[in-house]
Amino acid sequence: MPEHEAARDSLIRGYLDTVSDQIRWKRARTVVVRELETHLEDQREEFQAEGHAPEEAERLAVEEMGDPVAVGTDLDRLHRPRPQWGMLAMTLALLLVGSWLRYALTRAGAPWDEDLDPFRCALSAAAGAVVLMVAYLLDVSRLLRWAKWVYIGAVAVGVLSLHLSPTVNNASYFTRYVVLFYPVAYALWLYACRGKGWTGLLAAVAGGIPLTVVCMCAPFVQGMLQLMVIGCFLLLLAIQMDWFTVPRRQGLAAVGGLAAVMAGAVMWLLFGAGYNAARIQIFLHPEIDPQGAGYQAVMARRILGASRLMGKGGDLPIQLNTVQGMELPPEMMLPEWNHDFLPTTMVYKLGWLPYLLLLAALAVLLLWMLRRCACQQSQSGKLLALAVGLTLAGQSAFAVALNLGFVLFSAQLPLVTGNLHSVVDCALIGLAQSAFRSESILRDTAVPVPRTPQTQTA
Amino acid sequence: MEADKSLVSGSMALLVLKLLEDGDKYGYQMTSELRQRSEDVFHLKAGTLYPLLHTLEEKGLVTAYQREAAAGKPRRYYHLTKEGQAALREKEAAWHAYANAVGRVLRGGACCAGA
Repeated sequence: MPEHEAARDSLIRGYLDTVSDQIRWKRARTVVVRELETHLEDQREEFQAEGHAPEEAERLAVEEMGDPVAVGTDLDRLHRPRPQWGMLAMTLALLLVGSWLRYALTRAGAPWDEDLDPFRCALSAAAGAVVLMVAYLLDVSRLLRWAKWVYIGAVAVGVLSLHLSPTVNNASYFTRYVVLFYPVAYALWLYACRGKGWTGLLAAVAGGIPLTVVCMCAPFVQGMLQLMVIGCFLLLLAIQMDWFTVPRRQGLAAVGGLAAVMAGAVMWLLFGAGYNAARIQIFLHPEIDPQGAGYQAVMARRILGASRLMGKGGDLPIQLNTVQGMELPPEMMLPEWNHDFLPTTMVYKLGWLPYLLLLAALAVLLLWMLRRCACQQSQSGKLLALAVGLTLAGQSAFAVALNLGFVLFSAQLPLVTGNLHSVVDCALIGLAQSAFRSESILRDTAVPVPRTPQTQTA
Repeated sequence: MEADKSLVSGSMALLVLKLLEDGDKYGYQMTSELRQRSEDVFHLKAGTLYPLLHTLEEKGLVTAYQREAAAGKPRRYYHLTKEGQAALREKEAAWHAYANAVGRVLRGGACCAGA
């Protein structure tokens, strides 16, 4: 490099380094300094066009910028991580309560189920806390930078899990946990497709197919339906935010129409005839087959019926199961009493009030997250956090319905049901909180808005 | 002639919002246009502009997005939001009221009606 060019570079670099040094949050430095750098280059070119020598143009451009320490200090004040201590504390509290409930409510079944082992419950709480903090401290802007590859990775992990995971209840065991990340993976895919017009929109729609296929192959119907609903919502929101730079009304109409056709097709495929139609019938009227397909729902409703507002529920008017001549506790009449029906067990053993308080706390956390999404300045951060919030809200809704005796799909209450499930929930919540924390630097990755920018004519 | 800094600083947000009213612009474009439109009165330093833009962005009055400009360089464009338009109208009205009041005083018009 010629000496004068090196001197010029050192002048610009020196200025930018001084600004950069004032910004304490390292992740914000690159984002902020990049904008100043292009400004400096523009200014230098203008001075050169006015007839100044390159070195002189460089010096004048730097002078025009103002005091680097003052600029850096102002930018440092504006670009700070926004800690989410309240939300983190609430998540950790729910995680600990959930672990304790799993241990305390189900220890009677521990001899028959290794997953109820107290050590495992404690381990899941510890792992959940670590995963929550790791996800919280994750650089979400990096995740966005590699959005396409993260999406491809998520599909690959899903396919691998289909082949490698053990099968439990005729379903690939680990795939159902991988699938919980799919709405987030889809949000990242949408981000990767932005700014590419109708082709981008088409790619965005097509990107949902591999994810849906993995859910179908698992098979994990609840995960698939949830993914499709959340995916459609995120896609419509992305169009509304003009991520694909297509006419908004046409884009919304196209995706809305497609979603309606898809919903019809899914309904027809799943519930139109045969086994699934019978499932709907049992879902609505489990009493028509109380000893067969409707057994879980009928038993859950009986147990809930015998529950009290506070404290342990009353006796059930049924013959209890026995093992080696000993009667088992009433809640153990319900298959999955220690997993999907853990909330029902909680209502029976502790009462309705503690359960409703737990649900209220979970609802506060989810509404808090969704409210933060609505206020989020960063469009990409908003979409990511929404994907998490809606996934957990969907899980909660299905789990609450299941535990009221409306049995359609297997569903787990976030942070409460299942050791591994709680850890996955922590990862998702940490990711959303990381997006909130990094809001001020995620703004830089926002996408075009409708109004045409003016070109520089000077 | 450059303007008195103390006079400019209070109205800088108004000027920046006004510049964005007729289209999205990037920072350098704004400083150039401000200089042109004010006939060389306002020389807005980048060190003042960017913290101000980032503050307006934080308040939701503008949003930003990355796009390549005509020369091929990636630029960060700023866009006036609906809230920004409302704030601009408010600031404009306040400015006109203030400027008229200062004008009336400087002209030494009818005053002390009760005296």
